[in-house]
Amino acid sequence: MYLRKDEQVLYSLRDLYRQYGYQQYQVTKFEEYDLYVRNKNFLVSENMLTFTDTNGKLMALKPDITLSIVKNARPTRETTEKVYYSENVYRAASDCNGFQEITQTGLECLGRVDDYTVCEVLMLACRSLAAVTDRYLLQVSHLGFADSLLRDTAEQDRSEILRLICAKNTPALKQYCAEAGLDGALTEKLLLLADLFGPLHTVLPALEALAEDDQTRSAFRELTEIDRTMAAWHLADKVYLDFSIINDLSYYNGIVFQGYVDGLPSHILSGGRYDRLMEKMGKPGGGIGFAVYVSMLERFWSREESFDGDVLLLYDDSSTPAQIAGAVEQLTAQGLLVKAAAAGDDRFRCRETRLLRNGGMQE
Amino acid sequence: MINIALPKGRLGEKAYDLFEKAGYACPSIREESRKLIFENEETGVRYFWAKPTDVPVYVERGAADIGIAGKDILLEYEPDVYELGDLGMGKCRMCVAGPASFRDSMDTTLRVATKFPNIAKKYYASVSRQIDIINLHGSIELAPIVGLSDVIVDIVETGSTLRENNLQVFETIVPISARLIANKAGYKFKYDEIRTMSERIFALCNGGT
Repeated sequence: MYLRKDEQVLYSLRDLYRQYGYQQYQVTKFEEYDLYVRNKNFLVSENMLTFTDTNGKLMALKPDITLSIVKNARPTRETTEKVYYSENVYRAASDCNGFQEITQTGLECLGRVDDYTVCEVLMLACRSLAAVTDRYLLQVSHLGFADSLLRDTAEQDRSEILRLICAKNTPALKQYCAEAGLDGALTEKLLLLADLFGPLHTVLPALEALAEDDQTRSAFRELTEIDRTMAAWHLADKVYLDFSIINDLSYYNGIVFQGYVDGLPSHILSGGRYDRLMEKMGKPGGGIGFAVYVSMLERFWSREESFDGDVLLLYDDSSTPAQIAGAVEQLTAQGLLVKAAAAGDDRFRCRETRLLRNGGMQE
Repeated sequence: MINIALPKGRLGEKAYDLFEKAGYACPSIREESRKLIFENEETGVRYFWAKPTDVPVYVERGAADIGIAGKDILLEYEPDVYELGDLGMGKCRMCVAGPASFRDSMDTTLRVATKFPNIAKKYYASVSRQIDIINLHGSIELAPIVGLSDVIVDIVETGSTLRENNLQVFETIVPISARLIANKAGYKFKYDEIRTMSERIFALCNGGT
């Protein structure tokens, strides 16, 4: 069976998630608009394709899958619901030039989310990236640190400081903290947070200095546990700590992560822990999951097929349709990809060209 | 190999001087030629010139790992890139300016001519002022003189063009200077090279602040 490289990845991801006991979750293409309006900060973009349902309700083509899964799930605190999906979502393009249909595959764990569950999700994120190339890395951040350090900071300072950490703009961060009158020790910690980058086990010692209260100590412990568990899967050198991902703190808490492959300019995988979303939607327990932007992968492989086929078979009126059919059959039986075209059609590029005259094939 | 996008013009040339001093020379760039790309295998750099407003596009989409862009362009287009610091060159200010005789009355919509609609919109939203944006691509100073707009939002370096045309600065929105930006994926996969490069460059411009 012929599959493009990105399709192969898509199917291998399904196998991967099934292997670890995730069940496929099918969702409809649209959902009530209301669901997204109430949670618009959870979405990548606020723009949606909307239409009116037969009963007058405003509907939207899904810009996101997680919200629908959470909405329909019946999780409990004692058990973990593990699902995966492979769906299309509809989002406004970043340059505002209309909407895009994006193929997305991913998984969610809802209900009881323990240390093992977090590690399993991170492992599956790594292996999803490995299905594309072995030149990949998973960038992991823990929101507990920024959340705890900025707890007593004024709202507008807080969002500006988070923005500067995201941009890794340490000189401006230093200046901003000084102008906002933050104390020196806190500034030093924020600068460290913005600057840290490296495989988890190499930067954990530097991070330990920041683990001073309950929230940061528990975040540090969680990261240490992740490092140990990822090592058991031989993935420790693929997990990088970097605090430049800051998802919305009103939905996300704990671990957030993004996956990169060498050769694509932005992340192709994005995920995190969203206990606060669960709480907002009145569901018991926590949640963690990720999505792989499969559509972005088509750019990863340069077009290897510079030919339209193996053999271009050119025929003219001297051969009957039956004779042409015979020649095509003879070639396809050899496993060749044949393109039959009327002589004079020069649009195609094949590895070799043959002419069919009076029912006989010529090189 | 690190790909570097430089903005065409004086700022780009000054920025290249800085890269050269930091040990990333590429002598062929100084030769008169129609070439678009300049490479030096020894120092592991490849430079190319781009229109200043396009530099963040090259960096965001990964065609360049590193780029030099004015803060004005970063504020206007908000590209998803790392901003590693301030090069302290190309200093100027984003200002509101208009005819010296202009007096703002709050009961009308203010007509603002600018090349930076996003910056202008954000600024006036922050002061709760109703405005009508007139998006121009050059000679912004002309707009209030011929009555196309009440004020302009534009970059002011020395202020001499404004003075010669009887315009004056009413408000400074934000100071502007050149920034070193990096692609988010490139930064991770070429971390050591980019890190060394930015450290050497910021050491040359007084710690980058």
